[in-house]
Amino acid sequence: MLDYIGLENFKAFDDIELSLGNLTLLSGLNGSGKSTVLQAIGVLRQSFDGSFLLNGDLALNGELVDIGTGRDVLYQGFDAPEIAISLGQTRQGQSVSYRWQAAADPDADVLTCSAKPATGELPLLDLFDQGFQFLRADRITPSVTSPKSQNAVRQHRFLGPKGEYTAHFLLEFGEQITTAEIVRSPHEQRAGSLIAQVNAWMQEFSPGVRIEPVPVPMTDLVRLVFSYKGEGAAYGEPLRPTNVGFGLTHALPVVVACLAAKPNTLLVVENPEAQLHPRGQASIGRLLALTAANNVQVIIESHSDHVLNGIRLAVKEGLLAPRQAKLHFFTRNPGEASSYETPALSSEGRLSYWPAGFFDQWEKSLDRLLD
Amino acid sequence: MPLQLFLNDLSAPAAGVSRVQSIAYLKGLIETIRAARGIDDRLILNCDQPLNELALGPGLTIATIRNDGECVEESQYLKTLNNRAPLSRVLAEADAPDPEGFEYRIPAAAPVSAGSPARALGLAHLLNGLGVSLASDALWQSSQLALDLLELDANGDIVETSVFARNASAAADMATHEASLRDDLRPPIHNGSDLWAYRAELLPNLEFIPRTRAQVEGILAGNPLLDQVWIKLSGLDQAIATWRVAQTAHPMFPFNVRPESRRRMHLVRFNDADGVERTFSDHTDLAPIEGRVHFIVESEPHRHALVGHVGRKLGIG
Repeated sequence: MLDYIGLENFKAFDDIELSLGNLTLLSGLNGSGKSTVLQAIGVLRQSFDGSFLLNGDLALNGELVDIGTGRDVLYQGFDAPEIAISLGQTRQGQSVSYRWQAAADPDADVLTCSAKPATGELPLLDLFDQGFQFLRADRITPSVTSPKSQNAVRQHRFLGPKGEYTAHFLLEFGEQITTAEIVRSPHEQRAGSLIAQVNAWMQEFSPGVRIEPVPVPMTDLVRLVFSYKGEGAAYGEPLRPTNVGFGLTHALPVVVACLAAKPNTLLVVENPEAQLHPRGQASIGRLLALTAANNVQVIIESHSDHVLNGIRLAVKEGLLAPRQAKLHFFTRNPGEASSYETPALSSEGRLSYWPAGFFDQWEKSLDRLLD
Repeated sequence: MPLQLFLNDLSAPAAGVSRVQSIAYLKGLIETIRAARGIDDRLILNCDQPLNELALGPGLTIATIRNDGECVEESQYLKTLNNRAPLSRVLAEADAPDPEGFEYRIPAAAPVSAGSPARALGLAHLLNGLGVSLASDALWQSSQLALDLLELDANGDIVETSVFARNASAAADMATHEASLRDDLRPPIHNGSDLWAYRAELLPNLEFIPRTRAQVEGILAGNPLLDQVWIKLSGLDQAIATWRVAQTAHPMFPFNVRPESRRRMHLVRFNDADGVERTFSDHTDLAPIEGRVHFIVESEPHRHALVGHVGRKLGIG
């Protein structure tokens, strides 16, 4: 598990060291820097996957993130035209840090490190291991068929940055993977298979729905079949994904990632709440908290107070220890570097304080409604 | 400590009040609280019973009105408040005198509630807060309410004195109280030398290493840093006071506290009073300068925070 990530001269940040918990929630206004944190993680992973990292190079563009060139990644108020990313981890009781520093050549999209962990010193961090998931905000939209990727799904257990291999993943592992008890739906405690639990959790978003992956014969495609419970125990006619809401399609990769995740893996999700109604948003917050309680390191970016509340309720119910959750709220004043605050959670799920602007718009609007 | 409001449950209306009037009382209460928030938006509303159970008329509470689909926004607004019940909680957290040793009563000559114990209004007096009442009687519409304070003296005899508690039942009442409430929220010191001299009384849960003396004493009267230092140090002190070591690993600070980054850690190593070098990683910001208060929280041998730096952020010249 990563203890912190450090960023120097990296996009909106001059110099920060952000502590990471089992569950880390990044929030803040658009442009405040929270996506930058995820991008830095994405850069390291895609550099590792592309065999750049071990050679001492950082690939700014790739499957996970497209930052551009050195010009785009360098903090505008830089003190030296070099970026750095650091990761911290506790190994055998010792705090160990790994740092990649690279000159930000304005036109280069692969930056060469001037400092990096010595070859052989870099352990297989969760970030670089099998089971890592990175689900971007621009996830798949409903489509009639989904692609297969034997490399992503079978080799890396990866759902794709847009969740595009979720259907293939379910086809391969829906029956094989047994979910951890702690992440199981309260409405389905007995059937522990991934597909059973996916369907149980999807009830939180659309009651009565059932999802089934079906291979398309003679192609490298998979079809997701949605059906709704009809009268009695029977299910109605199957529906095309294009005929069910966006919310189910957007939520599905997140649900699958949470339920399939093994302990000591890393799950990064942008906007898990996308397209979900408030109750569904709270449910996905709860599922993410349960996933973190399963010793999966979960890092999410969210604008949803319902996701936050789902996490807070999970803490209040004793499902996730308050110290395991880190809530970082980013702000950026014009012309200045981004900064952040970290209100703490109590065991009752209360916040130690509410930074100005931290999920308080509802209250502000309510105050104006009472005028 | 943020502004403390105390809901005067004696002002709950008697039988015979119409539903329309009950709702007007509720809306008046909310307008009063909103006006008080203009003075301190961190205010805490202290009640002796859960707010939803406040009687607004025959068979009417905030909960029943809300359940009937009325005053939905008003009810939601109340839920956004820092609300604390019962009243014993504020006593426990405020380091107040033993509640067995004193009692407040409505004077015997009062037109309503004569001779009744007045816990909420009494605490408004004791803790320099503000009583908030429903405007259900002319008495509760007074901005200063007379109370009898009964205390035990050193001989065990009861001593009775007359005191006044601040009270508000309408938004307009806040104009009367604003100046004195703001005065009470200001630091009880005039300069850094005062703060250092009275630190043991004012900040009993904080200890300071020698280097901080010059930093604190150097804050002159009128320096806006004084207010900030007071807010942060008193917030730290309060967080330590209410810290339940067995329940949480860290105190719940009322502002942002973060550890120093590894790259800057060498800047925050200072000697304590015994000459032992310590690392003061945890810190909070001091506006309006780029300032910091660095400290170490310790639970043994007694819970306290050891303050290691009060002033400009280190390492920036």
